Amino acid sequence: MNQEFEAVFIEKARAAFLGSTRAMDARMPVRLRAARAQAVAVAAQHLPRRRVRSWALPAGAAAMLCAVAVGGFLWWTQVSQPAVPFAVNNNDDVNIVLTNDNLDMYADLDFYRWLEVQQQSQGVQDGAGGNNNG
Amino acid sequence: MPETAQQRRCRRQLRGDVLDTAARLNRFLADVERRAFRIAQMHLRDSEDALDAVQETMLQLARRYAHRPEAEWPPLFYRILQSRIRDCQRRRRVRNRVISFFGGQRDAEGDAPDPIESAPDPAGGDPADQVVRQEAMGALENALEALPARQREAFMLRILEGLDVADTARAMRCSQGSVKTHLSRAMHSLRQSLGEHWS
Repeated sequence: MNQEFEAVFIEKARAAFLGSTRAMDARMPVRLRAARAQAVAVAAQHLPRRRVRSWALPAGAAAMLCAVAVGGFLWWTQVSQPAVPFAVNNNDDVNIVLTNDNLDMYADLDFYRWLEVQQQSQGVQDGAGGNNNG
Repeated sequence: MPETAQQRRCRRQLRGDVLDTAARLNRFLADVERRAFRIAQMHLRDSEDALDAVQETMLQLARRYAHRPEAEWPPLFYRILQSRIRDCQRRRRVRNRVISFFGGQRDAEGDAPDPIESAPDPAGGDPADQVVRQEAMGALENALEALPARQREAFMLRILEGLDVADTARAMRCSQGSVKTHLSRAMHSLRQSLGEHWS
């Protein structure tokens, strides 16, 4: 009895409800259609962007990880090398170049080369003479 | 750089998907819009507020949930609608409090019914049937108004809108057991208030 009443009641309630949706104010269906058209247009605008967002998030995360990895690698290589090795190793060379005496030596470099050639040729002649004498 | 054939195909497919989703959303909204409007109207007892609530619901569903599977749309739609209805009722309570505080009264001109709006829809059918339905619906609306809000929601979504228990629970943000409890109590109260006329 209870279930029977319930079924009849539900059927009647639903019929009355659906009837009331059909017997609506004259202007309301038009306004509802306009609201629906606006909503569908909004959905069409928003759908592609949402699709892009769906793959942009993992792509962005991967790019971020790559950037962090490259940055970390560069930092690590800088730390593992001694600081300014070139300047320390060549400090003596720079001093030699900048000393006035040494600059004079470089100015007379041609003379020293000629002197060295002369000494070598003298040595060769002496050696040859010594051999001949011996 | 010229577009490759694969890019063209992807773009066409994407556009096709968007149009397909938009068409399905249009069909869904066309199916529910009148019932949703009546549900909002029964809660709010005002056509303009009900229309605003339905319009905001449609826009929010389109903006935030159009990409979700179609089967999820009904509970999401009614969840948003219930939320909009509650917002409107809250605003109305605050407004009434402010008006009563300052002792003001609503403009009589604003309350006058619009003759065009109150005219029946030509698609309504036989006038005699309409009168019977209107009387039945009037009695039901009065009985529903006397129910607690949650029982009214459960009855409207489950019985009038025809959502299943799971979707009703999702729309009401409660468990399926709560839906059954609210519905059982609502049916009991309605039977007591309408039983003589409806049996």
